[in-house]
Amino acid sequence: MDKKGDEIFAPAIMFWVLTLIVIGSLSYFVWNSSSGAIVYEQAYAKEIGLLLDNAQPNMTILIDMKEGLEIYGEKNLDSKDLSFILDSEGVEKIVSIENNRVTVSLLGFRGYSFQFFTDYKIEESFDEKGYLVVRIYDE
Amino acid sequence: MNRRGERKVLSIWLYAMLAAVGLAVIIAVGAFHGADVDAREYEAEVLSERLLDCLIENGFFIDGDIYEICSLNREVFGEEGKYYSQIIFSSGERIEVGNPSFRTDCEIARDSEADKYPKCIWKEETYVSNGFVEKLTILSASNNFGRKVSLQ
Repeated sequence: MDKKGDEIFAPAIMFWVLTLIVIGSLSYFVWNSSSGAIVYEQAYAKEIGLLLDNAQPNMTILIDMKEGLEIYGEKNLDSKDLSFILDSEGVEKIVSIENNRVTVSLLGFRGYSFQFFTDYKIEESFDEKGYLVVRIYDE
Repeated sequence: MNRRGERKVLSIWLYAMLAAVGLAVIIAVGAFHGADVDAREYEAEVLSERLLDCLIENGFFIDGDIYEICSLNREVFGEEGKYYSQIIFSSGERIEVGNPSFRTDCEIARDSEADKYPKCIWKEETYVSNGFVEKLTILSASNNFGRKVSLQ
């Protein structure tokens, strides 16, 4: 191709490449946000924290986390098989309750943390239906 | 202006438009998903209810260590913490736990809108002491927002 051809096509190609990059990045950003992981993390963390503030010893609290677990499975395991939640490491990765803080992470690399004020011993696990089971004991 | 000049000016505007649309989408989606769910008022309410439940039993006030009686974590109720409670007896005697600066903040926030100030709840209850019915006021405040954390 001669020089004149280069002058005409190079900016056009550059423009379309840049356009595709911008649209691609935007689509990825919107798709990522549309899963609602950020919203769910915050909602779950605050729900669990407030329930713990309200709890009494020897209570067992069940929290439906199926939607959150599906997001975790899609984002981290490329799978909708939720059997991983039944082992204790699976729970720790998603919900951690320690030092008076509840941290919920559905994206794996970050999460949302919320403080609570009660001073009970707390144990958490998941059941096979995707419910978080929180048991509260007196210290 | 010649044709080549026109083309250059046009492409600058196209880039600018593209950037503006992208920015608008990012800001809109970010604002929607980054919005904070404010649970401070509920938490102050829960704290008040918890104190009333554990300090007054069958109409009688239970005297003692408030942290022990109500199972509250001492570290969380530190002076730099996000919680505060004040129990005011009709005799004028007061018991305080938590961040003392919230006392003034609650007085200010009572008469005005202040987003970053703690959310405060006042509750009143009666109890029996030496055969007389006495009044007790509980002020509870929370400024616990929660935060995003990196896990890597």
